[in-house]
Amino acid sequence: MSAASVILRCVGAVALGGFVAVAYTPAPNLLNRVFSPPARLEPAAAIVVLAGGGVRGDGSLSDVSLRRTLHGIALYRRGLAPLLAFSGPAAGGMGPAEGDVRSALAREVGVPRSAIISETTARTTREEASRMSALLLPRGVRRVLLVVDTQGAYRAARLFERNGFDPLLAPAEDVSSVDGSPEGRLDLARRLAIEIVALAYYRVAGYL
Amino acid sequence: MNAVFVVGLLAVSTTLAWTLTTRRRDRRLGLRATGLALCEFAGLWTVLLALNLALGVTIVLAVRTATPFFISMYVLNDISLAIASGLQAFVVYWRRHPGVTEAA
Repeated sequence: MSAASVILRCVGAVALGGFVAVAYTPAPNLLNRVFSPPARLEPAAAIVVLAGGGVRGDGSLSDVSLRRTLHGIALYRRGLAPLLAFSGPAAGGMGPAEGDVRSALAREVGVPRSAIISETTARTTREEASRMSALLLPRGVRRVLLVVDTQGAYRAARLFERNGFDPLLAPAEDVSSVDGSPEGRLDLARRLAIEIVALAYYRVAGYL
Repeated sequence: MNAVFVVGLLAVSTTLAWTLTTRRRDRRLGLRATGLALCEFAGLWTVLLALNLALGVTIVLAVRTATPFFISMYVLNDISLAIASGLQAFVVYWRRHPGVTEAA
Protein backbone atom coordinates (compact mmCIF):
# COMPACT_ATOMS: atom_id res chain seq x y z
CA MET A 1 0.00 0.00 0.00
CA SER A 2 1.47 3.35 -1.03
CA ALA A 3 1.81 6.36 1.24
CA ALA A 4 -0.55 8.25 -1.07
CA SER A 5 -3.23 5.62 -0.53
CA VAL A 6 -2.86 5.83 3.24
CA ILE A 7 -3.11 9.62 3.18
CA LEU A 8 -6.10 9.55 0.86
CA ARG A 9 -7.85 6.99 3.06
CA CYS A 10 -7.26 9.12 6.13
CA VAL A 11 -8.53 12.24 4.37
CA GLY A 12 -11.51 10.28 3.09
CA ALA A 13 -12.32 8.87 6.52
CA VAL A 14 -12.28 12.37 8.01
CA ALA A 15 -14.41 13.68 5.14
CA LEU A 16 -16.96 10.88 5.51
CA GLY A 17 -17.09 11.40 9.27
CA GLY A 18 -17.52 15.12 8.70
CA PHE A 19 -20.31 14.54 6.22
CA VAL A 20 -22.19 12.32 8.66
CA ALA A 21 -21.69 14.81 11.50
CA VAL A 22 -22.86 17.74 9.38
CA ALA A 23 -25.83 16.10 7.68
CA TYR A 24 -27.17 13.86 10.44
CA THR A 25 -26.36 15.63 13.71
CA PRO A 26 -27.12 19.14 15.00
CA ALA A 27 -23.42 20.11 14.75
CA PRO A 28 -23.95 22.86 12.13
CA ASN A 29 -26.90 24.28 14.08
CA LEU A 30 -24.72 24.49 17.20
CA LEU A 31 -21.77 25.98 15.30
CA ASN A 32 -24.11 28.55 13.79
CA ARG A 33 -24.78 29.95 17.26
CA VAL A 34 -21.17 31.10 17.39
CA PHE A 35 -21.75 33.07 14.19
CA SER A 36 -25.09 34.51 15.26
CA PRO A 37 -24.69 37.82 16.99
CA PRO A 38 -27.93 38.94 18.64
CA ALA A 39 -30.29 41.20 16.73
CA ARG A 40 -30.72 44.75 18.04
CA LEU A 41 -33.94 46.10 16.61
CA GLU A 42 -33.80 49.67 17.86
CA PRO A 43 -34.59 53.02 16.23
CA ALA A 44 -31.91 54.13 13.76
CA ALA A 45 -31.36 56.78 11.12
CA ALA A 46 -31.52 54.30 8.23
CA ILE A 47 -32.08 50.68 7.35
CA VAL A 48 -29.36 49.28 5.08
CA VAL A 49 -30.22 46.09 3.20
CA LEU A 50 -27.06 44.45 1.88
CA ALA A 51 -26.95 42.60 -1.43
CA GLY A 52 -27.45 38.86 -1.44
CA GLY A 53 -28.42 36.40 -4.11
CA GLY A 54 -28.92 39.04 -6.79
CA VAL A 55 -31.49 39.08 -9.57
CA ARG A 56 -32.55 35.97 -11.47
CA GLY A 57 -32.49 35.68 -15.24
CA ASP A 58 -36.16 36.68 -15.45
CA GLY A 59 -35.50 39.96 -13.66
CA SER A 60 -37.07 38.93 -10.35
CA LEU A 61 -35.24 38.90 -7.04
CA SER A 62 -33.64 35.68 -5.83
CA ASP A 63 -35.13 34.05 -2.73
CA VAL A 64 -32.32 35.35 -0.52
CA SER A 65 -32.58 38.87 -1.90
CA LEU A 66 -36.37 38.88 -1.58
CA ARG A 67 -36.18 37.68 2.02
CA ARG A 68 -33.77 40.47 2.98
CA THR A 69 -35.78 43.08 1.08
CA LEU A 70 -39.02 42.13 2.82
CA HIS A 71 -37.24 42.15 6.17
CA GLY A 72 -35.99 45.67 5.47
CA ILE A 73 -39.44 46.84 4.40
CA ALA A 74 -40.98 45.31 7.53
CA LEU A 75 -38.47 47.18 9.72
CA TYR A 76 -39.34 50.40 7.88
CA ARG A 77 -43.05 49.75 8.37
CA ARG A 78 -42.40 49.32 12.08
CA GLY A 79 -41.07 52.86 12.09
CA LEU A 80 -37.55 51.93 13.13
CA ALA A 81 -35.93 54.29 10.60
CA PRO A 82 -37.04 56.98 8.12
CA LEU A 83 -34.68 55.83 5.34
CA LEU A 84 -34.43 52.51 3.53
CA ALA A 85 -31.20 51.92 1.61
CA PHE A 86 -30.94 48.99 -0.80
CA SER A 87 -27.69 47.67 -2.19
CA GLY A 88 -27.00 45.31 -5.08
CA PRO A 89 -25.40 45.53 -8.51
CA ALA A 90 -26.52 44.04 -11.81
CA ALA A 91 -25.28 40.49 -12.35
CA GLY A 92 -22.16 40.71 -14.54
CA GLY A 93 -22.93 44.40 -15.09
CA MET A 94 -25.91 43.51 -17.29
CA GLY A 95 -29.65 43.48 -16.72
CA PRO A 96 -31.50 45.12 -13.84
CA ALA A 97 -29.53 45.95 -10.72
CA GLU A 98 -30.57 44.20 -7.53
CA GLY A 99 -30.76 47.53 -5.68
CA ASP A 100 -33.13 48.97 -8.29
CA VAL A 101 -35.41 45.91 -8.32
CA ARG A 102 -35.58 46.03 -4.52
CA SER A 103 -36.40 49.75 -4.62
CA ALA A 104 -39.19 49.15 -7.14
CA LEU A 105 -40.67 46.45 -4.91
CA ALA A 106 -40.54 48.74 -1.88
CA ARG A 107 -42.33 51.50 -3.81
CA GLU A 108 -44.98 49.02 -4.96
CA VAL A 109 -45.79 48.13 -1.37
CA GLY A 110 -46.11 51.73 -0.30
CA VAL A 111 -42.69 52.93 0.80
CA PRO A 112 -42.41 56.54 -0.45
CA ARG A 113 -39.79 57.21 -3.11
CA SER A 114 -38.22 59.90 -0.94
CA ALA A 115 -37.45 57.33 1.76
CA ILE A 116 -35.58 54.96 -0.57
CA ILE A 117 -31.92 55.00 -1.52
CA SER A 118 -30.50 52.59 -4.10
CA GLU A 119 -26.82 51.76 -4.44
CA THR A 120 -25.99 49.62 -7.46
CA THR A 121 -22.22 49.75 -7.89
CA ALA A 122 -20.79 47.89 -4.88
CA ARG A 123 -19.79 44.29 -5.65
CA THR A 124 -18.42 43.13 -2.31
CA THR A 125 -19.40 43.68 1.33
CA ARG A 126 -16.38 45.93 1.76
CA GLU A 127 -17.44 48.06 -1.21
CA GLU A 128 -21.00 48.19 0.13
CA ALA A 129 -19.80 49.64 3.43
CA SER A 130 -17.65 52.17 1.61
CA ARG A 131 -20.33 53.27 -0.88
CA MET A 132 -23.01 53.46 1.79
CA SER A 133 -20.77 55.69 3.87
CA ALA A 134 -20.39 58.04 0.90
CA LEU A 135 -24.19 58.13 0.48
CA LEU A 136 -25.36 58.21 4.09
CA LEU A 137 -22.73 59.88 6.26
CA PRO A 138 -23.16 63.27 4.51
CA ARG A 139 -26.86 63.06 5.47
CA GLY A 140 -25.86 62.69 9.08
CA VAL A 141 -26.75 59.01 9.16
CA ARG A 142 -24.50 57.03 11.48
CA ARG A 143 -26.75 54.63 13.34
CA VAL A 144 -28.05 52.07 10.87
CA LEU A 145 -30.02 48.86 11.07
CA LEU A 146 -28.02 46.38 9.03
CA VAL A 147 -30.02 43.72 7.20
CA VAL A 148 -27.68 40.89 6.25
CA ASP A 149 -27.54 37.12 6.60
CA THR A 150 -26.95 35.79 10.10
CA GLN A 151 -23.61 34.19 9.26
CA GLY A 152 -22.16 37.32 7.64
CA ALA A 153 -23.50 39.74 10.26
CA TYR A 154 -20.29 40.01 12.30
CA ARG A 155 -18.08 40.72 9.27
CA ALA A 156 -20.54 43.24 7.83
CA ALA A 157 -20.90 45.04 11.16
CA ARG A 158 -17.12 45.37 11.53
CA LEU A 159 -16.82 46.78 8.01
CA PHE A 160 -19.58 49.32 8.64
CA GLU A 161 -17.96 50.33 11.92
CA ARG A 162 -14.68 50.92 10.10
CA ASN A 163 -16.53 53.15 7.66
CA GLY A 164 -17.92 55.41 10.37
CA PHE A 165 -21.27 53.79 11.12
CA ASP A 166 -22.83 52.61 14.34
CA PRO A 167 -24.47 49.44 13.03
CA LEU A 168 -27.31 47.61 14.75
CA LEU A 169 -27.78 44.08 13.49
CA ALA A 170 -31.11 43.06 12.03
CA PRO A 171 -30.16 39.76 10.39
CA ALA A 172 -32.47 37.99 7.99
CA GLU A 173 -32.11 34.22 8.12
CA ASP A 174 -31.23 33.30 4.53
CA VAL A 175 -30.78 29.73 5.72
CA SER A 176 -32.75 28.45 8.68
CA SER A 177 -30.55 27.93 11.74
CA VAL A 178 -32.94 25.37 13.24
CA ASP A 179 -33.68 23.24 10.16
CA GLY A 180 -33.30 19.61 11.18
CA SER A 181 -33.32 18.10 7.69
CA PRO A 182 -30.02 16.77 6.29
CA GLU A 183 -30.29 19.09 3.29
CA GLY A 184 -30.97 22.10 5.52
CA ARG A 185 -27.99 21.26 7.70
CA LEU A 186 -25.71 20.81 4.68
CA ASP A 187 -26.88 24.18 3.36
CA LEU A 188 -26.22 25.79 6.73
CA ALA A 189 -22.77 24.18 6.90
CA ARG A 190 -21.96 25.47 3.43
CA ARG A 191 -22.94 29.01 4.45
CA LEU A 192 -20.81 28.72 7.57
CA ALA A 193 -17.84 27.44 5.57
CA ILE A 194 -18.16 30.32 3.11
CA GLU A 195 -18.28 32.84 5.95
CA ILE A 196 -15.28 31.29 7.72
CA VAL A 197 -13.24 31.56 4.50
CA ALA A 198 -14.49 35.12 3.91
CA LEU A 199 -13.58 36.13 7.46
CA ALA A 200 -10.10 34.65 7.06
CA TYR A 201 -9.61 36.42 3.73
CA TYR A 202 -10.80 39.78 5.08
CA ARG A 203 -8.47 39.45 8.07
CA VAL A 204 -5.46 38.49 5.95
CA ALA A 205 -6.20 41.32 3.53
CA GLY A 206 -6.46 43.77 6.43
CA TYR A 207 -10.08 44.72 5.73
CA LEU A 208 -11.24 44.01 9.30
CA MET B 1 -37.50 12.91 11.48
CA ASN B 2 -36.19 13.62 7.97
CA ALA B 3 -32.71 12.50 9.01
CA VAL B 4 -34.01 9.26 10.53
CA PHE B 5 -35.98 8.46 7.39
CA VAL B 6 -33.06 9.19 5.07
CA VAL B 7 -30.61 7.18 7.18
CA GLY B 8 -33.07 4.26 7.30
CA LEU B 9 -33.59 4.40 3.56
CA LEU B 10 -29.85 4.39 2.93
CA ALA B 11 -29.33 1.49 5.32
CA VAL B 12 -31.95 -0.61 3.51
CA SER B 13 -30.69 0.20 0.00
CA THR B 14 -27.05 -0.38 1.01
CA THR B 15 -27.90 -3.76 2.51
CA LEU B 16 -29.85 -4.71 -0.61
CA ALA B 17 -27.08 -3.62 -2.95
CA TRP B 18 -24.46 -5.47 -0.88
CA THR B 19 -26.51 -8.65 -0.83
CA LEU B 20 -27.30 -8.58 -4.54
CA THR B 21 -23.74 -7.91 -5.65
CA THR B 22 -22.22 -10.56 -3.42
CA ARG B 23 -24.72 -13.16 -4.63
CA ARG B 24 -24.16 -12.50 -8.29
CA ARG B 25 -20.40 -12.29 -8.22
CA ASP B 26 -17.71 -14.02 -6.31
CA ARG B 27 -16.36 -10.80 -4.89
CA ARG B 28 -12.94 -10.90 -3.34
CA LEU B 29 -13.57 -7.60 -1.70
CA GLY B 30 -14.72 -8.02 1.84
CA LEU B 31 -16.32 -5.43 4.08
CA ARG B 32 -12.96 -4.09 5.28
CA ALA B 33 -11.52 -3.78 1.79
CA THR B 34 -14.69 -2.08 0.57
CA GLY B 35 -14.53 0.39 3.44
CA LEU B 36 -10.91 1.21 2.65
CA ALA B 37 -11.75 1.69 -1.03
CA LEU B 38 -14.63 3.98 -0.07
CA CYS B 39 -12.30 6.02 2.16
CA GLU B 40 -9.74 6.33 -0.63
CA PHE B 41 -12.38 7.43 -3.13
CA ALA B 42 -13.80 9.93 -0.63
CA GLY B 43 -10.28 11.20 0.00
CA LEU B 44 -9.71 11.73 -3.70
CA TRP B 45 -13.05 13.52 -3.96
CA THR B 46 -12.16 15.80 -1.05
CA VAL B 47 -8.70 16.60 -2.39
CA LEU B 48 -10.00 17.32 -5.89
CA LEU B 49 -12.79 19.53 -4.55
CA ALA B 50 -10.27 21.44 -2.44
CA LEU B 51 -7.99 21.82 -5.46
CA ASN B 52 -10.86 23.04 -7.62
CA LEU B 53 -11.84 25.60 -4.99
CA ALA B 54 -8.25 26.75 -4.46
CA LEU B 55 -7.70 27.08 -8.20
CA GLY B 56 -11.02 28.93 -8.54
CA VAL B 57 -10.11 31.41 -5.81
CA THR B 58 -6.71 31.98 -7.42
CA ILE B 59 -8.25 32.63 -10.84
CA VAL B 60 -10.91 34.97 -9.41
CA LEU B 61 -8.32 37.00 -7.50
CA ALA B 62 -5.99 37.08 -10.53
CA VAL B 63 -8.76 38.33 -12.81
CA ARG B 64 -9.78 40.98 -10.28
CA THR B 65 -6.18 42.12 -9.87
CA ALA B 66 -4.90 41.96 -13.43
CA THR B 67 -7.95 42.95 -15.45
CA PRO B 68 -10.80 45.47 -15.19
CA PHE B 69 -13.27 42.57 -14.93
CA PHE B 70 -14.89 41.41 -11.71
CA ILE B 71 -15.79 37.83 -10.90
CA SER B 72 -17.69 37.14 -7.70
CA MET B 73 -16.32 34.52 -5.33
CA TYR B 74 -19.85 33.18 -5.17
CA VAL B 75 -19.41 31.55 -8.60
CA LEU B 76 -17.60 28.86 -6.60
CA ASN B 77 -20.70 28.35 -4.45
CA ASP B 78 -22.18 26.01 -7.02
CA ILE B 79 -23.26 22.49 -6.16
CA SER B 80 -22.25 21.25 -9.63
CA LEU B 81 -18.61 21.89 -8.70
CA ALA B 82 -18.87 19.37 -5.87
CA ILE B 83 -20.62 16.82 -8.09
CA ALA B 84 -18.12 17.26 -10.95
CA SER B 85 -15.27 16.87 -8.46
CA GLY B 86 -16.77 13.48 -7.58
CA LEU B 87 -16.68 12.49 -11.25
CA GLN B 88 -13.07 13.62 -11.47
CA ALA B 89 -12.34 11.54 -8.39
CA PHE B 90 -13.86 8.47 -10.04
CA VAL B 91 -11.61 8.90 -13.09
CA VAL B 92 -8.51 9.34 -10.95
CA TYR B 93 -9.46 6.38 -8.75
CA TRP B 94 -9.96 4.19 -11.79
CA ARG B 95 -6.58 5.24 -13.20
CA ARG B 96 -4.94 4.40 -9.87
CA HIS B 97 -6.66 1.01 -9.67
CA PRO B 98 -7.35 -0.18 -13.23
CA GLY B 99 -7.34 -3.81 -12.11
CA VAL B 100 -10.52 -3.33 -10.08
CA THR B 101 -12.71 -2.65 -13.09
CA GLU B 102 -10.79 -4.77 -15.60
CA ALA B 103 -11.19 -7.84 -13.39
CA ALA B 104 -14.93 -7.15 -13.21
